[in-house]
Amino acid sequence: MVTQVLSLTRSGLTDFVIQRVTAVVLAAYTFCIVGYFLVSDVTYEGLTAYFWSPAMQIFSTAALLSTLAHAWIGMWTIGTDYLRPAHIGRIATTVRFAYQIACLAVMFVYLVWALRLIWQF
Amino acid sequence: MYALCTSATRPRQADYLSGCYTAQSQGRVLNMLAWVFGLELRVGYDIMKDAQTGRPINLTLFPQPFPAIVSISHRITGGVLFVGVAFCLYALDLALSSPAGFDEARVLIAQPFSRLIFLGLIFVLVFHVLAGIKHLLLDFHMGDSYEAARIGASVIVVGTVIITGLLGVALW
Repeated sequence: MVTQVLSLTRSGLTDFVIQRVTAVVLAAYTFCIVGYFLVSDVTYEGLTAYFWSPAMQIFSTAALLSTLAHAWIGMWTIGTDYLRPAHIGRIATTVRFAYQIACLAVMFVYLVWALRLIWQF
Repeated sequence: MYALCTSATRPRQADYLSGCYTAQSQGRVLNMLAWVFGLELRVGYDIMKDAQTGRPINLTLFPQPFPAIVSISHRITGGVLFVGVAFCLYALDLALSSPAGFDEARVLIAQPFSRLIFLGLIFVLVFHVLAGIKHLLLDFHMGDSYEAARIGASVIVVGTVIITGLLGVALW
């Protein structure tokens, strides 16, 4: 058994709720973006005006934070389900820790990269 | 190795460390791979049983029921999307950088290989969203009977193929 040391909130119920709330935000954002590409004739001027409008900047930031929380919980779940002593033996804790750190590093890159894109700094 | 797995009790720390429980998992993985590649080969291993009830622990069925395959695919597509975010950020970065970069992104996305990647990402995204909606419905106990689960899994797969096809046609 793997304890919840590195889950997002160390509470299964809180993680459960966060996973679902962020899922709804991400679904709404996905419909919004896909809808934009479907209905508009995408040009540079149009895309920048749309993406850098204040409403979309705020929505994109919400979607970004939702992505990171959603991905952390999801990747933690995958890690604790498959990178266990029962599956890969004694090295499980070391491997899982390295995996979690790698996920964290990728998320940090996504965070900074996307924030710079959204807020143009 | 599998002869070690004679313990008929719930796995304890000692079982993990002795490799006994690991051997059971490895047997399951080998059998799963054999099934995926269509081989008749199966390795034998003792299934751990609960000491009190005698019921098997971690009973694994192969082939898996169709809804179970759709369910595990939700998890796999989630992992793929986590990596796919990088491709989307790269394309967005390029498109927003300048008018020249925007044209460059258009050319890049029009290439067969990157078109395949993005179409694949759209397929995975549509699947993950549809399976996620089903998951939310299940949380409200909607469609959680056995029959409804079978229908729901079919709707997800068929819906993903149709929506991905429509999006692929509409976007290119």
